[in-house]
Amino acid sequence: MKEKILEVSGLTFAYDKSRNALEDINVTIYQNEKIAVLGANGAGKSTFFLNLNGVREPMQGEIRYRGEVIGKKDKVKLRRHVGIIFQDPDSQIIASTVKAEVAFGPMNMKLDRDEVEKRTMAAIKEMNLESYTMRPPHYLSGGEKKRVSIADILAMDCEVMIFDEPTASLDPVNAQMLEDVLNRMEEEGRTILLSTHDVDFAYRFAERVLVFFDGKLIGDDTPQKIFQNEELLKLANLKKPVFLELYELLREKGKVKETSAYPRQLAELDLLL
Amino acid sequence: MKKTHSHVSIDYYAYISGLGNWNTVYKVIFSLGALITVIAANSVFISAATIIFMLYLNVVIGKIHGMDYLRLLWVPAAFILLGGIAIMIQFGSGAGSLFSIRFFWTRLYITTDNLRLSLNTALKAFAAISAFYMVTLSTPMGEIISVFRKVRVPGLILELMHLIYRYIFILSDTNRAQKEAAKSRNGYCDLKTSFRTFSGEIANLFVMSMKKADMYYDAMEARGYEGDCDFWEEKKALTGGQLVYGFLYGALLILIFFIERRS
Amino acid sequence: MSKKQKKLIAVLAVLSVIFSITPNAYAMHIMEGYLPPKYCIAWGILCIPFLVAGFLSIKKKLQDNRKNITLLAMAGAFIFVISSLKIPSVTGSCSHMTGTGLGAILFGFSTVSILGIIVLLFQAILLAHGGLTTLGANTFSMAIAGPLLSYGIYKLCKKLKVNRMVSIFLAAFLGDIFTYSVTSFQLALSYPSTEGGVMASVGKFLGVFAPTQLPLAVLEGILTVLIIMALENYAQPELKAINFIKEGE
Repeated sequence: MKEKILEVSGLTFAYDKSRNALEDINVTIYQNEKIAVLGANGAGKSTFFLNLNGVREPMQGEIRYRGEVIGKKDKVKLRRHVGIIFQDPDSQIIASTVKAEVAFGPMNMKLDRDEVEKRTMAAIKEMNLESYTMRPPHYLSGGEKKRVSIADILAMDCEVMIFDEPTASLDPVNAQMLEDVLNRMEEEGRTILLSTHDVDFAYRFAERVLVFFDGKLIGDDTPQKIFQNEELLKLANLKKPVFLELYELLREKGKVKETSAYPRQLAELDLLL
Repeated sequence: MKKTHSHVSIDYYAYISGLGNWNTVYKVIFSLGALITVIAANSVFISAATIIFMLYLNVVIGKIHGMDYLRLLWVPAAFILLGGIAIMIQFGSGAGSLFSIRFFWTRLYITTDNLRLSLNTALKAFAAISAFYMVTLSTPMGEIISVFRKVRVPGLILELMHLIYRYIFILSDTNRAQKEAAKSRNGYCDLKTSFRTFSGEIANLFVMSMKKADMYYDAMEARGYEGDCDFWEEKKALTGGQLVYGFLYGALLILIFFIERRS
Repeated sequence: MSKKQKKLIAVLAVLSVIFSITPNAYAMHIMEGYLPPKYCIAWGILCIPFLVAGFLSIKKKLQDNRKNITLLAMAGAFIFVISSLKIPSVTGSCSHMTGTGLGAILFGFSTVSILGIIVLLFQAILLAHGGLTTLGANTFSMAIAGPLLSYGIYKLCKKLKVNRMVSIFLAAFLGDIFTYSVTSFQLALSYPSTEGGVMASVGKFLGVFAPTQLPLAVLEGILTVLIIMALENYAQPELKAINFIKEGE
């Protein structure tokens, strides 16, 4: 049994009184999970993430980090463990050079100068940004900025890494880079949550899928189960992943062996043919 | 590194300058010292020497392309020219003038003194700008702000400076995209439409900037920001090589000072 | 070539030179090195009370809500960016707004003084408009005198129930004219005329900069009206959000 990292119970949050942005969310996140969060724009994904990191405070309910309730005072502590990579790197990047930018998080953690430098340079190296160290963010391309925004959180050495729509507006090269980074983080034992509209990517990547609709958590299961629940897909306005459709078609025609495990990669499918 | 923000080319040079690895505080003291010397000395020779010395520092050591440097020096030319005209041309009786013409009820004239004063002022302005360029063309904004921190400017102001600097580029990127979108829909086809488009753009930019501000705060908070921005400052060593230029400039000034006194 | 022709050509040449450079004319930033040291210091000292007041009011606003920091910084960046945008024109010359009137109307006077000095410093560093030694003088004319007048006129017109468009135009237009007059005065004080002294010199500086500054002030007035109208049409929530900045003045 994996360790529980974040336990969310009865979480309700509203920006204004007329409508709840999140309503009674209950979910437990375990160590080293790879979770995809799906749902239309405005369904509550980003608000959910901001609550997990303590930037927004639950109006009702509570969030526990490793069993401890996160109160007002511990929010800063929470941020050392749970980091968010925002969708638009420009909304995240604030410093005038890449190095100062990546060092911003560690500096806020009040680490000593050597430790800040060590972590910053390690994160810059991991994101392959060494030649940009002293460059200002406004002379970087979109993909480079994205890498900087990931290095930002890496330098804080967060246990849980949350990506808000990481694949949006990335070209194929950078999208591949991102997938490699995500896999590397999983190997390092980190827990990954990401929101996306790309169901194919979610199906390929995630071990668990959360579906939000209108501020409520309406689905929490394995990708296969979620994507086979036609009713749920219709409600949340989601499409079935092409790979899953293909597999189901092959199975219908009797071309593959029956197994309980669903293939998610070409290699896995190949073994069943 | 591409120069995408053409109107802020000075910023661009600051990141590629050969003077970039100089100790920031030393550079600021050097430049400020030269600046104050120029305006306090009020001497044609000191101005001229400073222009040439700074040209050497900026172009040869700083590796800024010569033509680019001249273009940058030309930026304040309009002001210097118009200001120079206003200082040079006098009106009134015109006694002892070098040149004069009738102008309605009075006379416009130039005296040798006025001519000298306006040329001296122009030269002084160019010298002061050259001295200031030595810092601005070679020092990224983050480092300039770190000097303000050292002279005890309140943290709140420093934080505002950091954020404003960053947002300037975000807003001008946004505006460039707006402008292209507007052009693609003929928003700048004639003057009347242009004015409407232009003001619409600014209104839009305002709305965008205010909307984004909230999200930007969240992003800062998400990384542990608690109300005081502490930014990483690179430490740059002061070397003998850097000091040599300071001594050379100082020696040059002293030399000019003595020559001027003897003549 | 007759004498007259020669004169005409000379005048044309001067004009063409002026107009070939003025395309880059910004608002009237006094250039680096243009003021003698005593005036640099004097104008700087004159700014201090206004800046301290501005600083305290900003500090109070941040104590009320820390989140206002990004809002304030955005306001500063906004003023910088609009003052660097080229105003559309037929001749292809490009002039720029000062943004003082708009800034004062949107963000209030005391905020604009602090944002103004930062923006002016950035204009000196990033654009070479204005300078470090002339920062005090420029702050006084552009971040204090101009906005103060704009804001005063705007408030006065509101009290007197003057038509909104007219009052916005007057605030922006007169704010601009006032800035330009103060700058001319600052220059004249440092460079008095041979005959007639400072006052005659003010006339000269006003005259020399009039061809660019007068049309610019009219343009700025009209544009500010257009911008505020556009904002009132579709940006009510954002206008409300910045109301905090203006409170308590």
